[in-house]
Amino acid sequence: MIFKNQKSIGGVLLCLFLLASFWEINLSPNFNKKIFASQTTNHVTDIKTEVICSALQNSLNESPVVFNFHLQIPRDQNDYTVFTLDEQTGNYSFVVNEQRQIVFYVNKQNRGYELTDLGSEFYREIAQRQKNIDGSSINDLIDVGIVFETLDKKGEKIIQISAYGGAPSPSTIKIDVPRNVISTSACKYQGRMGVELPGSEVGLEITVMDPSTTMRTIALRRSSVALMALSFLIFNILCMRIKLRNVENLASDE
Amino acid sequence: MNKTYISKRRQWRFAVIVFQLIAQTSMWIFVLAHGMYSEKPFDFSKISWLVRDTTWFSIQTIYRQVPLLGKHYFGDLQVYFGFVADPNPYLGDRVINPPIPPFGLSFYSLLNVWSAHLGLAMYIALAVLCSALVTRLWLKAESLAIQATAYCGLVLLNTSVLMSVDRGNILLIVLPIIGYLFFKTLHFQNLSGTDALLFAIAISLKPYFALIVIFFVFERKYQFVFRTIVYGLISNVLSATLYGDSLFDITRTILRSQTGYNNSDSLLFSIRFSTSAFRVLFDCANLFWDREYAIHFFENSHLMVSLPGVMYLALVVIICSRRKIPMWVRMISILSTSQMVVAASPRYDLSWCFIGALVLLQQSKKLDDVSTDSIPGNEMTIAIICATGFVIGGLPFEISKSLSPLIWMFMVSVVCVIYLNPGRKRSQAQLDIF
Repeated sequence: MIFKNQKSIGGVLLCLFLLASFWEINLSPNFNKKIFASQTTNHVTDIKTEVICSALQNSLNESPVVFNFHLQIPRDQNDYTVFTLDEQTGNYSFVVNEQRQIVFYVNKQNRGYELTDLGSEFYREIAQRQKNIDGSSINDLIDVGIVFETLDKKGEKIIQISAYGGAPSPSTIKIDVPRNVISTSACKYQGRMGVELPGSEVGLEITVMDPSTTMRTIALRRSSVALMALSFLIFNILCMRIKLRNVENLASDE
Repeated sequence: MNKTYISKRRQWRFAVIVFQLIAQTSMWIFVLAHGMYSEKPFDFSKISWLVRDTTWFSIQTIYRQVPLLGKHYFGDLQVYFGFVADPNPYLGDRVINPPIPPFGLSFYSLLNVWSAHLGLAMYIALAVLCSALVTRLWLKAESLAIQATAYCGLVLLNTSVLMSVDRGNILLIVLPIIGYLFFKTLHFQNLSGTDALLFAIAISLKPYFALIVIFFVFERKYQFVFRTIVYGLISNVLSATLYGDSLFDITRTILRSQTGYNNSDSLLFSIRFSTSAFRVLFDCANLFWDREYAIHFFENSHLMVSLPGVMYLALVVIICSRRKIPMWVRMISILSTSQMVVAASPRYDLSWCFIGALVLLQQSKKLDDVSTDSIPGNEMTIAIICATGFVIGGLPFEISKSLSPLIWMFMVSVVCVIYLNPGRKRSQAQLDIF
């Protein structure tokens, strides 16, 4: 009887502990802040904006590494600008390549970054497309690419990308953050890239992080259920051991 | 009388272990003579091969794998490490989706908490520990020398097992769980909640082991099966919240991934590497038709690719439903489904033979239970076929890929003929009357 009570109390305490751990690891906003860069509070509720990020990691011998972002902007929103903002250095800008992709260059010259400010070309490109194509209800797709300089094995970094501003519901914003274990010692960056509308903005927040801490945090977060299951197993095995010992003690007493 | 019986059983057990050891050692000599390592991907004719799998998150995204130990990539581990780092691995736009549920992925995530290299070390340590523990459990009445010999023959020198380790496959951790559950079923008849959780973990890591539920249902372990389902559901629902997709979509993706291995979607892989019941049908088709025509035939029919596996499963279900058949035969039959049912089962799926051989080498539960001084002829016949199957599983791939599925097909057919043939039953009944 005593053992049963001990087991019940132990079980309840273990469940509470596991639930608290699960909440802390997975649901706590404080914990999320450690993983993702802080979100802006600007909201765009009157447009549908889709942000799809993807990445291409070439082999180590090839360069560069390209990250492509697709910003889907409504055609009826004429009064917008595409911007980039570097919170740390301000050492970057974007260009539009032949495929109408905004290309963001980073290399080791000039303290790690090469700057090419061709933003005005990008605006003209958008304006041209709006003039030529009729039908304002169709969304316009802008491909944004980031090109990183030649990589080496040292100094692995993680690019963490999240959307901000955004649409009213998760279904209209898809965030597809790539694994991004890229090996770029040159890359050290935190900033934003997006679309600015009157009074608000939508876009991506890009952070380069140290994988040793970030990947571990994500892995820990995702392994929480496995940890719970293993804790439960160990607890049960310990209980069985105690029970067996009690039975043996009782038998020896008798 | 009992002593004679036990002695005979031990004699046979020892002979099988030695036979297995000799076969595996010969295989190793063959492997060493031909070079252990192959630069060709998926080269099953060698003991180890180059794996350059890539994990694709989307068409534009490729995660590049790196060798974790020497030239070895331990592909499956890194593929899954890629999955667990993907924010939403179950999204439809991924080129490859995880074929396992989120709860299984969370274990891979646990392995990958520190680094892939440490994850590999933990994986190898767990594989060695779990296989050693389950070997000791099944052969605990034997001397340490026999236990060690069996471990060498069944695990350390077993090429299928080594290939699964080289592949980074988690089979060598999951199979001991199944072996432990079978041991408890055979010797104690009582399966607890902890066992149910273990089984739920095993199924989450390798979903095709869900077929073993059939065995437990016919063993009337209803509570155990119910607990397994409940634990599995709760764990997967909790885990699904971490993978950014709805449970319905995740289930659909897993089903799509799983069925892809059992139809024409993976046909070319199946034709080259399959060791399942499909291999028997394809070899038969090859006997009568041109190879190109055979490939074209199977390309156009999902049903024909999956049919041999389904038929095999039907035979195994019938065997499991007959409680007159010795339990070890039913156990081996249901274990063999992990190799035989899915058309694209590759060479390393033959690792199940390691647990199957332990079931074959079982000790009698109690000496008093033994009422005869000899092993029944039926059991002996099946045991010889099984032992041959286990040994062939360790032979070079070109021999084993066709022979192994043929033997298991033969084995279930023989079991059906011996135990389920009505003509035999009648004559047995008449003999009993006389």
